[in-house]
Amino acid sequence: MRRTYSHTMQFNGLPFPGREREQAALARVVTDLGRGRPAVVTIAGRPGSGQRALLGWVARLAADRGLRVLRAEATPSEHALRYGAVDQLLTPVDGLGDGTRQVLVGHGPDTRLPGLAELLRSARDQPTLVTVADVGLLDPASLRWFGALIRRLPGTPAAVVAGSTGGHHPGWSGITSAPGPVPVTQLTLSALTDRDIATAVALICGEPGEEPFTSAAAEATAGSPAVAHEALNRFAARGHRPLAARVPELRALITAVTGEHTTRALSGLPDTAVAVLRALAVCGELLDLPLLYTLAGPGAAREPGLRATLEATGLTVASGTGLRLRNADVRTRVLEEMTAAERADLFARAAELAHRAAVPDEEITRLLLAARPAGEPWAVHTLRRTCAAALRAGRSAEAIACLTRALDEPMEPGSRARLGLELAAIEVLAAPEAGDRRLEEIIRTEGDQLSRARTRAADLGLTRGGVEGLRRAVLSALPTAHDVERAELAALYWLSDEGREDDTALTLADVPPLPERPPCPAQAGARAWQLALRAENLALTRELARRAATGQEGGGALILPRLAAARALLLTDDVEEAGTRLDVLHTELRRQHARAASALVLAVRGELHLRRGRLDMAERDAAAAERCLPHARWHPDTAPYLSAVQITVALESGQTDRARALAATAPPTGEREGAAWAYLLFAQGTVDLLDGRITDARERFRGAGRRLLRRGHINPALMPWRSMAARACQAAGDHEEAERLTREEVALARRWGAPSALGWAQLGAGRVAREGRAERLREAAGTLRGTSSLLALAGALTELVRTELDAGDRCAASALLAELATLTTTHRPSSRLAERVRVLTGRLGRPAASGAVPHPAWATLTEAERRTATLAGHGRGNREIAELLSVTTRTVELRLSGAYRKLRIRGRAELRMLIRATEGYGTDVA
Amino acid sequence: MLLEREAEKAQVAEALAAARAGDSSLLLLTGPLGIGRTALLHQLAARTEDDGVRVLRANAAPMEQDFAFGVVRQLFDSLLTGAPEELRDRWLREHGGFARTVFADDAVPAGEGRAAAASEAVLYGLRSLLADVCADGPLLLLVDDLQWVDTPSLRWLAYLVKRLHGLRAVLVCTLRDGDPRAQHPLLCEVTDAAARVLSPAPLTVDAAQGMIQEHFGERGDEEFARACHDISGGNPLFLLSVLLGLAVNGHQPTACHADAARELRPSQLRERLAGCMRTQPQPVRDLAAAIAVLGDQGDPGLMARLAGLDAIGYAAALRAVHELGLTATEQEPRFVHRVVQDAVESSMTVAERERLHDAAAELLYRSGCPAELVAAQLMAVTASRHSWSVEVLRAAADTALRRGAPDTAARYLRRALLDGALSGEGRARLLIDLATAERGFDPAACERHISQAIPLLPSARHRAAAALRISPTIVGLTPPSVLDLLHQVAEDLGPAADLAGTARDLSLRLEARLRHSGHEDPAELAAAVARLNGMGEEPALGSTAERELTAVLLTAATLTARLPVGRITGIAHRILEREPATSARVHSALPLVVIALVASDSVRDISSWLSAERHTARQDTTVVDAFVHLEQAMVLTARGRPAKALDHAERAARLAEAHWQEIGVISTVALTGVALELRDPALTERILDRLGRRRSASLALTTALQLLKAAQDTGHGRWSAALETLLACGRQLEASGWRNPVLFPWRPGAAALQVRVGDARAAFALAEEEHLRAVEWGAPVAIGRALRLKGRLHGGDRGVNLLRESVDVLRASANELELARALLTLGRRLRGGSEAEAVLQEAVPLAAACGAPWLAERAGTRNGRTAPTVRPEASLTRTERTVTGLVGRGLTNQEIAGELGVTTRAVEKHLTHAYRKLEVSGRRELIRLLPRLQPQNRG
Repeated sequence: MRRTYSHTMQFNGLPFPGREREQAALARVVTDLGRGRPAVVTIAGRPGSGQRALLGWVARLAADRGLRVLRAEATPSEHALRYGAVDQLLTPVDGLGDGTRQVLVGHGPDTRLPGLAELLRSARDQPTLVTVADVGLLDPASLRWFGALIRRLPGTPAAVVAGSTGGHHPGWSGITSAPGPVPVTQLTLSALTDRDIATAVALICGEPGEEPFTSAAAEATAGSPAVAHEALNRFAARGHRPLAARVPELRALITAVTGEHTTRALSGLPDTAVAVLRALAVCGELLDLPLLYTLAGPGAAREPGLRATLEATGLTVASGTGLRLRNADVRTRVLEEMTAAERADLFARAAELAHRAAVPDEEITRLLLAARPAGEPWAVHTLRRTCAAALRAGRSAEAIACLTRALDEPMEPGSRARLGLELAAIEVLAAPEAGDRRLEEIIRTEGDQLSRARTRAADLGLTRGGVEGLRRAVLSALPTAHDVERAELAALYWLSDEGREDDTALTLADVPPLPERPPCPAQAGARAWQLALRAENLALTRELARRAATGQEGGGALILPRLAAARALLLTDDVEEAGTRLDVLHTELRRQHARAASALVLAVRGELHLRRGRLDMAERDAAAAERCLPHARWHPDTAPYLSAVQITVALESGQTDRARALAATAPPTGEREGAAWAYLLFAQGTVDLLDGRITDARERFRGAGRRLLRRGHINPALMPWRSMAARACQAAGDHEEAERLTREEVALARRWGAPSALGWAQLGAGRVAREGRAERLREAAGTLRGTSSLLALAGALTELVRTELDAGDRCAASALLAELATLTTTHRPSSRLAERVRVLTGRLGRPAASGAVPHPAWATLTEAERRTATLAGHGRGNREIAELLSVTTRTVELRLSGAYRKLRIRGRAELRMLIRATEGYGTDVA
Repeated sequence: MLLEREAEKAQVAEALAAARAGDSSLLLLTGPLGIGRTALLHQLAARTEDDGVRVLRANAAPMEQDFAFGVVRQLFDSLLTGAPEELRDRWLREHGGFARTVFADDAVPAGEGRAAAASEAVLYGLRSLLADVCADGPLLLLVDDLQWVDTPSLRWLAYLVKRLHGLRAVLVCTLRDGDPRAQHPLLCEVTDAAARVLSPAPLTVDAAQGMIQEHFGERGDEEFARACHDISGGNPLFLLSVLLGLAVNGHQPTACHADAARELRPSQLRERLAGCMRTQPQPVRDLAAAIAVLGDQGDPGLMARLAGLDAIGYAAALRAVHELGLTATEQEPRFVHRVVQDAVESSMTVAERERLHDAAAELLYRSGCPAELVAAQLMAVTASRHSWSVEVLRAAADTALRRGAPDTAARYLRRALLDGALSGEGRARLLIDLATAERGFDPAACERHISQAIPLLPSARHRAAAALRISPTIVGLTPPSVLDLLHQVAEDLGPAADLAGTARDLSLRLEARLRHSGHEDPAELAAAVARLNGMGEEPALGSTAERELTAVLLTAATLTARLPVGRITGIAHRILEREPATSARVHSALPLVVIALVASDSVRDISSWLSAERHTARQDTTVVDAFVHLEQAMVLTARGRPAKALDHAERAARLAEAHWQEIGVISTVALTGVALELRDPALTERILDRLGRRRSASLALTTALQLLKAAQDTGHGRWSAALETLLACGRQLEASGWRNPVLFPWRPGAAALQVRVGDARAAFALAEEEHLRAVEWGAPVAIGRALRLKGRLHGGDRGVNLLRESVDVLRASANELELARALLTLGRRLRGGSEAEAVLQEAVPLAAACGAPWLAERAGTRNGRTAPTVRPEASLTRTERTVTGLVGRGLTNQEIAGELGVTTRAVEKHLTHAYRKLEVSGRRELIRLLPRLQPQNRG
C-alpha cells in the first residue's frame, strides 16, 4: 500500500485542508510545551481520517521549534512485543541504563515502567513531545506505561499526543477519560467537506479543479482524507489535470484506493465482524439486522460491541436501525476478499433466507444468480417468475440469465428439457446459435417421456431456420421415435427439406415419405405445402392445409406445419383463412415468447397483406417482425425473406430510397442455401427494374426462378418471377423470351387453378404482349376482380388505363381509374399506386390529387365495403357496381350501408364528398 | 545504461544526505514488472559505494520465502564477510545472543524462525548490530522485491522501520505492483513507514531511441523507434528484450523492420514473465490462462467462466493482471504483447492446456459462438469427451467449405474422425463429409475415403449416394478404381426404371457418371445419343439427377455432332434455367452444359449465368475457383475475346497446377484453345514445353495439343509436319466419333496446309467436308468458318460470294473475332472499291474490340498497302480524337482547353490516354502520325 499522502503534508508546510481547527489546537499545545506546560491531546477518527498525518505534522512542528520529539506507533506486530511502543519511543533517548534496555527488549524481569524516569528526567532539560499512533493497538505493558507517563506529566515539560481510530478502545479511554492531572484535549476528526476536498484538489494538482471534478472527488471519497489524498496524488502523478473529462480516471483511482483501505481494514477485524460485513455485501439492506446476523453465522448476534466495532472500521454506516456498507467500492472489495466458493455459498444461504423472508422475487433472483445451486424447487420457481416478469418488461438479457441459471439447478430430465425449450425460445435474442445447439441437444436426448420435448425442439429450431445441425439431430432421433412423435418428426423433416436447395447432397436418411393424404395434422400441413410448392392439386392442398389446423390450435400443436399450412392457403387463394390462421398462430407464439417463430409469422402475414394490397398492415407487420427479432438475429437462411418483404413493402409504399438501401444492404446471395433467397432475389430484381438496370433485374429474376425450379417449386403463385423476368426481357428487346416466359406462367397458373395466380400471369402476359394488350389486360383484371390480390388488380387496372389512354378511350380510362382509386383508399399518398393514380388522373386532364390523408375510418371498412363505397362515391349506380364486382345488387346495398355506418355518414352524397376530399379532386367533377 | 531515472536517483541522494545528518528514512520503489526497479537498485549500489556509503543488499525470491531470515542474512552477509576480522568478532561477540539463531550455517526451519522472530532479542540484536555499523559511516540498505521477503525478515524490517531514529541509514525497498502479498499486514507496516514512494515512469520514445542507439550503435529510424516504444509500452524490460531479439536476428533499426519488432516474441522476456506468472495466486493464473486460450474471441463473461471465476473474482483477477503490467488496459482482457501469451502458455502443462482448450470449446459452444471458433479450440485437444464435438466440427467444416476453404474443412473433419467416438454408419457419414471437403483439393484422398466409407454403409442406396460424392471427370478418363466403384454400386442399386424417389435419382446419376466415362468410345457415345433421343422432345428435367444425366447425354450429342445445335441449346438452356451458378456445380456434370453451349456457339446467356458468380466474393485458391476461371476462359474464347480469355485461362491453369489429374487437363485444354486463337508463339511454346509434357490419356487434351503443335509448325514453316499432325489428329477424332467442327477445327488448318504443299484437290475435299459437317451441326461459327475456308480456296466471284455468305452467317455468331476474320478476308479479296472500304471499316474496330488489332494489321500489311485503318486509333474516344485533332492544328494545351471549355488538366489527361492508345511517346510523334489519323476523324 502506498501512502504518498503523508508527504503531501510536507510540502510548503501548507495547512491541511479541513483540519485547520485541529492544527490550531495542536499548535497551541506545542507553543505551551515550549513554555514548559504539559498537555495531553487525543485525536480520534475513523480509519483513514488522517490521524497519522496530523501526528506527523505536529511532530515536525515541534521539531522545528527545537523541541524533542519521540514517536511511537502501535501496530499489530508491535502489539506482540512487550513494551514495543515504548521501545520505539525511547530509541532515540540517550542515557538509558543497560537494565532498562534489557527490560525493553524482553530480557530480564519487568521492572516497572522502564525508562520512564529517564525520560521524565531528560525532559526537564529538553521539552519533549510524545506522539503515539493507534493507541488502540498498544500492548498492555506499553499501555500501562503511557498511563503512568500521563499521570506524571504535571510539572514536566512534556506533552502526549495520541491518535486512535474509532472511539472504542477500553484500555485507553480508561486513561484519558478519567479526570487526570492534566486536562485532556479531545480532537475528533470528521469527514472532509466538499470545500476541503476542493482545496485539496487545488493543492495536489497545482490548479483548482473543475466543479464536476471536485464534486466527484468529494462524493466518491465520502470525505475520507486518506482516500482523497492518495487518489489525488496518484492522479497528479500520472500528469493529469483536474478536468471534468478526467472524472472517470479519478473515480477508478478512488475505487482502487478505497479497495485497498477496505482490505486493510478487513485484515484487522475479528471473524464475526468480517462475517457480518460479508453478509452486508451480499444482501445490502434486503434483510433486517437479526436475519443478517443469522446469515453471518453463529455468534454474530451475541457478540458484544460488534456493531460499534463495525462502525469504527469506517466501512459501514448506520442506516435506520440497520447497517449498510459505506459504498459500492467497499462492497465489491469485501466480496473480492472471499474465495469464489465462499461467495457462492453465502449468496445461496442469503437467497434461502430471502426466500423464507418472502422478499420480492427480483431480489431473490439477484442473489440466486450469484449463488451455487440451491437444490430446491423454490429456486427454479423464483427464477422462472422473474424471467417472465423481465420478458414482460422487455429486459430479455435478464430473462435469459434467469433461465440459464435455473438450468444449473438439479431437476428431472423432463423439466430440464422444457426449461431448455423456454430458454432457447428467448435465447434467440442474444445468442441464437446457442439456442439452436440447446435444441439439438434436446432432440438428441433419449427417453420416452421426452418425446414431446423432442418434437417441440425440432419444431422451434427448424422454424427459426437452423437447418443442417437440427436435421441431423432429427435424423438421429427418428429411429427410436414412435407413433405421433415419428409422424411429426417426419413432417418437420420434410418441411425443412423444402427449405433446402441442394438435393445433390447426400441424404442418407430413411425418413418415410409423407403419405398422399396423411391423417396426422402435422403431416397434413407439410404435405399441403409440398403440393402447393409444386402446384399439384389445389383442392387437396386446401383440404390438407385446413386439416393441419383443425382441432389443433392451442398449446400442443407444432408451429412449422401450421405456418406451412397457412402459407399453402395463401397460395390457394384462401387469403382470409390464411390470415386468421396466422393471427391465431401469432397470438399463441407471443404468449410462448417464441420470438423467432413469431417474427417469421409476422413476416408471412406482411406478405399476405402485401398481396391484399393492404400496405399499411403489411408495413406494420414487417416492422413488427423486425422488432420481434432484430434482423441480425434471424437465421442467415431465413433473414432474406424478411428483407424481401421489407423491400417490397418499402417499394410499394413509395419509399424507394429505403427499398434501394434495403436491397443493397441485404446479404449477398452467395453459397447459402434456403428458399428465402429466391424471395430476396425477386425483391432485389424489382428494385433493379425500377432503377432501369435491366440486365441485373433479369438475372435476379432468373436467379430466383432457378432457385425455385431446382427444387421443382414451379407454382407461379409463389411469386410471379416469370412475368417480371419477361418484363426485363422485353425491356432488353428479347420479346420472344418474354412471351415464352409469360406463356409458361399462364399455363402453370391455369394448371394450379388459383385465380389470383392466373390473374398475375395474365397481367404479366398483357404487359409484354405486342398485340391484343388491352384484351389481355382486361382478361387479367377480370380474373383478379374475383380475388383478394388487390395489388395485382391495381397493377392490371393501371396498365389498362394507360392502354386505354394511349388508345384515346378516355371514357373507359376514366371508369377504370375510378375503380383503381377504390384500391388506394388505405394507401399513403406516397404509395406507388397512389402516385400512379395521380399521374393517370393528370393525363385524363384532371387536376392531380392533392395527396390528402385518407379518412381514418376507411381502414375499418372491409375490403369489399371499401371498394363498393369508393365506386359509389365516384357516382356509379348500384347495378353497375354489382356488375363490376360480380356480386348481386343486394350485396352492394348491404355493403354500402355497412360503409355508411362505419364512416358515420348518411348517404351517397356525403360519401361522394368524402371521396373527393380524400382524393383531392375538384368538387365539380361529375 | 539507465535512462530517465534521474529524479529517483536524486531523491535517494537527498535521503542519504539527510541520513548523514541523522535523519534516516525508508524509500519505497514501486512499479510493474520490468519497469526497472532492480536496475535502479544496482545503479544506486554502484553509485553510492564510491561515496563511502556502506551498502547492504538483499534480493528476495519467491523460492526462498520459506528460508527464515534469508533476506536478513543476505543483508548482513556482505557486511560480515567484508569487514575486518576483529570488527566482525566484536559485532558477533556483542550481539552473540541472537547470532546463532540467525547466522547459523544451517538454514533455519520456518517454524523455528518464526519463533525466533518473535523474540525481541533477535529483533533488537539485529538493529543494534546495524546501529554499530552506522556508527562507522552512513549505510544504504537495499531490499529488492519486498513482496517475497520471508516472514521473519519482514518482521524485522517492520521492527526496524519504526526505529530508524538514531541510525544513519537509508532503506530502499522495491515492491512489484499487483502482488497479492502487498496486502500482508507486516508488509503494510513496512510500506506505511515509507517517507517517499518512487514510481518510475514508463520510458519516453526518446529513451527508447537511446536504448536503440546503445544496442545497434546507431540511431533508429523514427518509425522503428516508435514501433519499439509502442509494443513495449515504454517498459524497459520489454523494450530491452525486443531490441536484443532484433539484434540476434540481425535486424537493423530501420523503418522496414518496424514490423519485425512488432512481431517479435523474445524468449528471454517470456521466461521472466513465466516466472512472474508462477508466483501469482491461482485466480490470477487462471485468468491469464483463460486470456491466453481464448485470445481475442473471449468476451469478459466467457473469460471469467473459463477461468472458473464469478464476476467479482474476475474483476479482482483482471485488476491484478493489469497491475502486473500484462494487459494494455484495465478493462479489456487482452495481453499487452504476444509474448505474454507465450509466457502464460509455457507456464502451463500440456494437460492443463488441453483441459482449458476443451473447457473453452464447451463455453464457446454453449454461448452460441460460431462453430469454427469452437472447432479451433477443439483442434487443440487430442481427445474430447463432449457428445457434441463431432457435430460442431462438422458444422465448422460446413462453414469453412462455404467460405471456400476446403482444406480447413478437411482438417476439422479429420479431427472429428480422430475422436473415434463413432463407428459404423456414423463414421461412414463423417468419412463422406471428409471426402466431400477433399474433392475440392485432393481427389485421390476423396476417393480413398469414399472407398473406406462404402463398406460401412447399410444399404445400396447409401452406398450409391456415397460413391456419387466423387466428382465426375469432366474431360478425360475416369480412373478405373472409381469406375469399378460406380459399376459396383450401380449394380447393387438396380436400374432407374425399377426405382422411385431418391433411389431413382441416385440410379440416374450413376448412369450419368458411367455414361460419361465412355465419352471417348464411339459406341458408347452413339448409345448415349440414342438414349437422349429416346427421352423425347423435352426430356424431364425436374430433378438434379435428370438434369445431370441429360447434361451427359447432351455432351455425347455435342461431341459427335449428331443432333442439331438448336435441340442441344434448347435443352441446355432448360437445364441452366433450373440450376443456380453455385460453386457446388463443379462437382456435378454441369460444366458439361457449358461445353455444350460453347460448342453450339450459344454463349451469350451463359455469360450472364456465370456472372452470378460475381456476387460471391471468394479467394482464388480452390478447384472451384479454377473452374470458374476456365469456364470464363472458354466462354470468352467462344465470344472471340482471346486476350481477355487468356487472363482467366492462365489463372485457372495456375490454380490447377497442383491437381493435374482432373482440373489440370481441362484447364490446359482451355488454355490451348486460347493460344490457338491468339497465335502467340511464346505462349504456344510455353504450353507445349511445359504443360504439353504432362501427357494424359485424355483425347481432348491430346487433340488440343496436336492442334497447337500443328499451329506452331505452321508458324515455323514446317508445313508437311504440321499437315501430318493435323491429319493424324483428324483420323483419331473420327475414329472416336468426335465430329464436332467447333470443338475440333482441324480441317481448316489442314486444308490451308494442303494448298501450301500443293495438294489443292485434297484441300477442296477437306473444305467441302468441313462445310457439310458444319451445316449438319448448325453452329454459325462453324458454318462461317467453313465458308471462309472455301472462299479462300475458290478464286474469283465464287470465292467472294462464299466470303460474303460467311460474313452473313457469322453475324449470327457470338464469336466476333471470327466475323472480323471473315470481313478482313473479304475486304482483302475485294481489292479496293467502296465495298472493300466498308468491309474494312467494319472489320478494324471489331478486331480491336476483340482485343486482336494485330489481325487487322497483318491483313493490311499483307495486302501491300499502307493501311490507314489498321492502327489502334479506333479505340480513341470522341473527345480524344477532338483533342488530338486540335494538337494537329498546332494549338497549345491551354488553347485547346479554352476551345473546348475544359481545364488544361483534362486536356492533359485526354492526351495521355491518346498517347497510350496510339503507342506514341509524345506530342511530336503524335503530330507525325496525324495525317494517317485524319480519315478516322472525318469518319
